[in-house]
Amino acid sequence: MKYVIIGGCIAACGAVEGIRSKDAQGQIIIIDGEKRGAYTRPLISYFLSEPSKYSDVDYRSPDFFKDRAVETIKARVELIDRPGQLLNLDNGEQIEYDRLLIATGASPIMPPIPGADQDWVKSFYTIGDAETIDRDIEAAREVVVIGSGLIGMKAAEALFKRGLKVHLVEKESHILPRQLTPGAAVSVHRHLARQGLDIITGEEVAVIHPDHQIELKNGQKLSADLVIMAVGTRPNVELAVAAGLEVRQGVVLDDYLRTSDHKIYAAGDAAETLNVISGKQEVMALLPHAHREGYQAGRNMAGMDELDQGSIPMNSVKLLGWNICSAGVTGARDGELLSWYSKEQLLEIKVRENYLIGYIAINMPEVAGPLTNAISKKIPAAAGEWQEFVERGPSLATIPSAYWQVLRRLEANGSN
Amino acid sequence: MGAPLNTGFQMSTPVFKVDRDPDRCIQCGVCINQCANEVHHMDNDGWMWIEDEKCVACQRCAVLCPTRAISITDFPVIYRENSHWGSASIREIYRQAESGGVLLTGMGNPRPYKSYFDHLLLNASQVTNPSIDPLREPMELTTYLGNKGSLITETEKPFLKLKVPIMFSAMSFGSVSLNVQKSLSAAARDMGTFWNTGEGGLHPDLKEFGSCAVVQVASGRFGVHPGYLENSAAIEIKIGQGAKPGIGGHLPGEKVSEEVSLTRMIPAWSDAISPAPHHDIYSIEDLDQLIETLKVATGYRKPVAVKVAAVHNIGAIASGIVRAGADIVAIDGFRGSTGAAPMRIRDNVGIPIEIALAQVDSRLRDEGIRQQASLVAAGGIRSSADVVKAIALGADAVYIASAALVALGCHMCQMCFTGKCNWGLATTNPGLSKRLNPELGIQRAKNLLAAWGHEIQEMMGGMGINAIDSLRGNRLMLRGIGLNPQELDLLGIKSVGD
Amino acid sequence: MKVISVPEYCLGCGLCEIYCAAQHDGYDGNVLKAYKRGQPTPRSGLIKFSQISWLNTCMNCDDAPCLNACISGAVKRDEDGIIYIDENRCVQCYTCVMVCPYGHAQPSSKSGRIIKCDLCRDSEGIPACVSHCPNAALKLVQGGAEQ
Repeated sequence: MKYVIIGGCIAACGAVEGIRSKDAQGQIIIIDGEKRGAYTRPLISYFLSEPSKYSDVDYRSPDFFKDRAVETIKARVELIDRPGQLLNLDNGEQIEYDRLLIATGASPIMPPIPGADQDWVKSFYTIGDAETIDRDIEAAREVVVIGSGLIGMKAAEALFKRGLKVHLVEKESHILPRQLTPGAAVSVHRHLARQGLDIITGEEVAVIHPDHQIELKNGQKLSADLVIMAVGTRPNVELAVAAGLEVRQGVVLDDYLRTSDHKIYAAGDAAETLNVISGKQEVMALLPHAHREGYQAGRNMAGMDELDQGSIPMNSVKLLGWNICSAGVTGARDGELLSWYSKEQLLEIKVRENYLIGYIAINMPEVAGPLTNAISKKIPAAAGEWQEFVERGPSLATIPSAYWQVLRRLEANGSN
Repeated sequence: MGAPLNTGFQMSTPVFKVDRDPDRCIQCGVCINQCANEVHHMDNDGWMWIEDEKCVACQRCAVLCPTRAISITDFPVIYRENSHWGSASIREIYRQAESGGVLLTGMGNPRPYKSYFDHLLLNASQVTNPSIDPLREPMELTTYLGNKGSLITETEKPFLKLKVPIMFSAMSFGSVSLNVQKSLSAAARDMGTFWNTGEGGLHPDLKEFGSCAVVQVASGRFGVHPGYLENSAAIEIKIGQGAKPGIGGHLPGEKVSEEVSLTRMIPAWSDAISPAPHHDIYSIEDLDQLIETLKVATGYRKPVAVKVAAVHNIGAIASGIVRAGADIVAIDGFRGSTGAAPMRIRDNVGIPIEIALAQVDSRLRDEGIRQQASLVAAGGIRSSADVVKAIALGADAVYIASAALVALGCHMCQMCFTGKCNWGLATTNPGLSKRLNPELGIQRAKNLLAAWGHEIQEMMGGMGINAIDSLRGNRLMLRGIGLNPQELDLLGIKSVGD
Repeated sequence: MKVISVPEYCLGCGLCEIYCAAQHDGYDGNVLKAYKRGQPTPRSGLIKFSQISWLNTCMNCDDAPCLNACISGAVKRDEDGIIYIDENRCVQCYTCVMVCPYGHAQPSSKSGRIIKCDLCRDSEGIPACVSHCPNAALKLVQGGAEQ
């Protein structure tokens, strides 16, 4: 069996592990257009904040691929020839495959703001971006970050730690709009503002003037030596579209992570996978998901017929000392919202018919794991137990007993 | 009985003093969460304080303290020196003047009466009749309990086969936790000996241990039904107990939990009262009837034992019991323990097991009926040496209870009757009884029996004896030290040097 | 390998936590020194859940969510199958915390970095919590948990 993986990052590493868990012999080829091998994208903000300390952003050890007998070809795929089970590479080579994995990831969106094409307007997505910004800010004093999603927030934090004056512009009414409710965002906003971050919400950038003036739609002007564009990412699906595979926002997959061509699989940021809360296929661009999907796809490529268990949207981020974990449904109107707070801690949970469907935990890492698992494994509590969890003060000891019973069963059945 | 005084004022100072070494205390709180008597406290601001008066010196906190910061000592109270009025006597009067009640206590008689075991010395072979090395030569500890009198003439009689001459004595579920019974029953099975249900029935969880159980039939008849009698190795009619001869038992209603109620076959939360006498036994003939009834009920397939406290005229009593048809006579000396007894009874009634045993053995021999029943000695056996001495005085085997509990963790605080046993033994409180993990309990109890077995073999070897049967009643192996002629005579032994 | 609790016999005394803390951070099992001189931090926490309690240790899951989720490669598995934290690589994103079903891996109150049960892999013998449990309510067993 000959396995070919397009893309060489997290999902590819997962896939290699998945394939090798079942097939020690099969040939594995990775076709990777990036100069750099598999590295951890979320680490680039750490690198930017302190390059000397976080210079090592590799995802796996240098010998990871070699140890698993994986051949890496540094090239770009121009075409997937499905009938011929061939890939045409930009270096003229042709590669055959028995099983193919599309792990092409995503790219940052560059919105059509006038002036956004200037060379001091940067995206912040690759380690290359981070290295460039690291050089450029040597002489910089002020920076505008557009977008307060995870990437924007981490970029803003890193630059703030480097001593720059940072303006953060978010067009939604609150920061981290996909992670936080307006209520939860208030406390994070205050915390960051107290530290000295300039946060402007509910506002959009109108023009980026060549004189380093950034004009907002309300007419306010900010000056900046550098603009970081962090308004989001979109899946890299061009190859899949050209190959005639079914694509919505990302590559559409079945329950076994196969595309509409059953010899071709997809995983990671380019793919739509099952969100167990909504029951729909969605793009959930998150590193742990990319690894898990890659791993599962790899096992199925190697002949297993294992249903993908799906996952839930989740994030954990630390911003200037505050930890914010969130998972499941945080924005939608459905479900009962229960909240608890104390000093610098906040917990909001969403409950629907004794099931936990979402939570936001600020500076409460002690309960985050079980809550995430209660959502993703759909573990029901007895009536009123989630309410009691919040009323008695959230802790591992107040988590519904049904949850622990399920876990202890898992423990008893543990195998190796 | 007077009403309790409506005041928190107590005349007496605490009995024990709990010292916490501040240089060692790390405020981990183990002492606080382990003390069921609520001696240790910590305020929200971290201030730790102690209520000495609640301490019973069970040592739970001191043993579990990870930094050995806690030590428990006698509270330094000096009443004016008085050889007659000791501090205990004075304190007891204060307690009764405050409560108006009978003084209760637990475990065995702690008073400084003469311990005859400590006045007996064993023989050892020298030049002639050489000693035996138990590591090199077979050394038989197996013994059989039952009626050996008519082996030749009648159909096969039921016996108990003991691989070590030590059985676990009666401790009912209720007086001790189920985990204690789980520990002792499994240890007994694994070691080839027997445990005793006590007067509390057999808990369903312990059904599989019926085959190594001596099941008790006592004056309250708790838990007695045909299945109970059938699922047993032997049946024991309990007439008396060494710790409280002549009085019955009283398990307060609050201890009769649902589980205890099921096992005892009485309503939950109602007092379980064992009458002082069996209301159907007022004579040897009545006892004969009950023995015969039980034998009929079990098809003559189980030996029937009768347990009595060692009291005056025990020789005559035992003779009557044997003539009434008992296969085993268990005699419980005045050091025997209890889960709860009035202190005055425990400390002042009964006689020493050593004397009782010698008297019974001699009496039965004199009457020619010794072979019709086996003798089991109980009450205060502390070591393998006590076992050897008891057997040499005439016992076939011994019962141990206090020693078994100590093996499981008992620290002899004598507060069994409170139900707040910090070692999880004499309690049915689930939060406390979980403190004995039977897995550990089984191993510890087995280790004790194994260790004593080895020691018994060594002592026997020294005497040149290679089977426990040859030691039974072999009083030539004993010499008395510090005993007067009458005591030597009652024990049927010679003095040292003689 | 993993340490499992037997809640039926857990006393909730907390000695496991104390000896756990003393076994790590270079205190070499010296409880007094750890607590009097240092800032001991137990790797595993006792959960007291109404009537029962247990030590919330790492299950060294077969398919470990923390290992799969770690963004920096700080969560590692050694040859014995023990999952441990390479503290130098931890960037404190707490993604492992977010995915641990047991709520076991937690930030250290001292450094903010993640600490977790490492089965006392740096010391001789069985884990300190197991050897110091007064009631054999902790057991070192083979295998990890299914996820």
